[in-house]
Amino acid sequence: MDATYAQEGHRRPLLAAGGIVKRFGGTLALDRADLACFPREIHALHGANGAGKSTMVKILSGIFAPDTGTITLRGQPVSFANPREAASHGIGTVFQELSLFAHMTVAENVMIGREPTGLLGRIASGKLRRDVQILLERLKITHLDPDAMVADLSLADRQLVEIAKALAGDPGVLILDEGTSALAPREVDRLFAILRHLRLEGRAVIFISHRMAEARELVDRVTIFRNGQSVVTAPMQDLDDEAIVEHMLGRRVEQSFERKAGVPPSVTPLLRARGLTVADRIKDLDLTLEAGEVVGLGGREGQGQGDLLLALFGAYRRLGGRIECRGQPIRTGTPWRGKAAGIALIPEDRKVQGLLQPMGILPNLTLATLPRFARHGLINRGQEDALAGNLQDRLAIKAASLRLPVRSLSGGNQQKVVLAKWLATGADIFLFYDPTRGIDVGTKQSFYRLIEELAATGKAVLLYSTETAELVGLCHRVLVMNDGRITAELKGDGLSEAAIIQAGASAGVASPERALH
Amino acid sequence: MILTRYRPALLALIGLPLIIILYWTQQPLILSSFGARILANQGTTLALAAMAQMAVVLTRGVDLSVGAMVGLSNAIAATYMGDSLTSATLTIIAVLLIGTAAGALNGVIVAVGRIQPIIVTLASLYIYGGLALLVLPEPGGSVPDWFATGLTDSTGPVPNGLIFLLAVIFLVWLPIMSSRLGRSIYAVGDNEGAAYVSGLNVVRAKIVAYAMSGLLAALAGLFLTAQTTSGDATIGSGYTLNSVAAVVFGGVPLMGGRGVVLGPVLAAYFLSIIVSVLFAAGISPFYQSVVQGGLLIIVLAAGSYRALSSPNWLQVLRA
Repeated sequence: MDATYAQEGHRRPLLAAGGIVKRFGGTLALDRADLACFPREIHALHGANGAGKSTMVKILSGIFAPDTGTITLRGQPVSFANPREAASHGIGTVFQELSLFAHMTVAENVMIGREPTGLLGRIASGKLRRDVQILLERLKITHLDPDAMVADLSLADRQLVEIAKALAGDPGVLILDEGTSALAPREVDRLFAILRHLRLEGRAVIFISHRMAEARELVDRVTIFRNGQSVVTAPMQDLDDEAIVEHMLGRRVEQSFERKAGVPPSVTPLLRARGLTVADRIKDLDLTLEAGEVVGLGGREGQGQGDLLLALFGAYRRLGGRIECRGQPIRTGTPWRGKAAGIALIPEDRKVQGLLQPMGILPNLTLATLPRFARHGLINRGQEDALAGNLQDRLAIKAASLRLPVRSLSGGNQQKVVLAKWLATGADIFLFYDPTRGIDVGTKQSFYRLIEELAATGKAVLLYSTETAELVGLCHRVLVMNDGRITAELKGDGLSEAAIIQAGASAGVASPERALH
Repeated sequence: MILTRYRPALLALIGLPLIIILYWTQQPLILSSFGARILANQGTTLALAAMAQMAVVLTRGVDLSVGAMVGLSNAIAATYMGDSLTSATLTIIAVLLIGTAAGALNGVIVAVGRIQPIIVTLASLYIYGGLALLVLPEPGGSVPDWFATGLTDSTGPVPNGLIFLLAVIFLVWLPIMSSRLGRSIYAVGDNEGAAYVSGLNVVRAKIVAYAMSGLLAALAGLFLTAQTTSGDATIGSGYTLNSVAAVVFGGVPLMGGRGVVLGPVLAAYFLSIIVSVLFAAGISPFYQSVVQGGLLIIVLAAGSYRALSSPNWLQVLRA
């Protein structure tokens, strides 16, 4: 008898994907991956970034068609030409990138495409509103006004709308792809209660979350993806956290970073911000960066970490508070002032904010330093070439020619171009916004070395990362942000992944004093 | 909530009475039944063209062929209506079908071919313009009296042109826009990716929006024919840009996904009355477009005030 069949008893999977292969251009996103979930099951899907989780979710939701492989629903083979077909088969998905309409109300968003209609197909707005009201009450999301415009909602509330929207279709299988990152602990509890209820009703839930610890008691079984393959599927209680991480990375987790000794505070730090305030986003925030120091920013996503980097760089006008570089107050409010003060930003979206994609690698490398080899507005190509070549060697940017468009580079090499552009300016304060997101493991390591090198050469680094392991490994200290404030500072022995996650999740209720010891 | 939705139309809602009062101080006659008829006849063609433009703008597109379709419909109608009820009726039906089909074709090319709306409709602009000249090389043609008076006379104190416009709004626009299909048109303009992953039929929504645009432009052409009682293949050229102006003035952002039909309709009347006001005030017609352009810039600047006042440069630049 088939081993898995025996193990699963007489049940058959509600939704199963087998041998899924999906290739995007040259990259193999999924390589014969399997995923199966049963009725009355909450199934966690784990994997490092780029392991193929989101691709699998998109295939199950009808957004991508697999190159090869089969999907079965209650034993019947199915194929989804588009998300509509997946939804009509009872698959509801909460996507990582929200799929909401900013200029519609909460109620209209929740019921989009399944609005109750009356005479001649006219949408019955009153009934729509009442239906949503009832749904929200059932989900105990009572603080949401069905008539509120989604554009006016916080990220957490948008995630709640997204969840309600997925549940409005009464799905047999609910897939949550990181749809909970901004939720406060109380909301997470409520969500978990909803998921348990769905399980009780005989439905299946596929759950992707970085909140591994929190989800532990919730989850029945877990599948782990690595490099596009499903490497293990097992009952949750058979895998401890360490084993999960081991399967995700494919090796025993050595401490791949060496523990950093702290950098003692000095009288004139490289950068000091006092009372930094940006309307609604950053609230009276103090911060210092010493030469040679790598400071991390942690916390749940969307707590103002990105805004802080943008504000320091000068991307915000009308900034409250003051910023000093090397003891001298600097004028803020435009990026060129930040640049003049020696501040560099490696931004969130390298495609849009970091690089001119269709332009060559060379003009991208020299973009921030053009005045240096321009005379009377004319660019000296020889000097430009020399600088670019120099930068290419220094960062080992893999490109056949610097004349090729930047978009022809891999993600990691693109990110190196962004960094190189700023190295050329001679900046000594580097702000990184999640620099290794979507970058392969090998390039990641070389990026870590570069960040360590920056610090070793007396520059200061402020690093926001969604990967807590990165923060622990690279930073001398980590500041955890909550709602625009720094609510915890972790360093030395107090600095661990668990402490960062703990501080990020709990600081909403703890007083700042307690969080800061 | 309703108020939030109608707020963008506020400018046109306030501007129209003001301009009418201004006009009234010059020409007291306009607040009579006769004056109302003049105003309605002047503005209804542009109001219909503005609705045609709005249907496409809602999907985050733009339709440069609106004016050319107005001209083509005008040329066909004036050429083929003749004097008999049968020929006139058949011509009207043909014009509406041609408009709808041509619009739908634009929609198919945009939605399935994934070509930018501005390019597709620029090409159709040329095609419709050429076809209109083939149909009616020289201005001329004629329309039956009952058709002309039926659309441009008054019923009691109410201008027929206004009744016609309201009929189009209540029988064509609102039924479609308040259905799921209409909701999906708004959704596509708001966030096309979200519309797709939410299981909406993005292609169908776009095709319907462009088909509506063609139908409404054809209706505008028919009304124009009744008003001028003749045909001119090139008469529509001004309506494309004026329809865009009315749409923007009426609070429908070119980014799509938002806006109520009231705004562009009122704005269309506003823009057509301004021409008369300037004329009555003895201001050279050459200044008309200067004033119109100036107003448009002021309106646009006011409209993007919120984006421009954002503290985040990245958002300011994106606006």
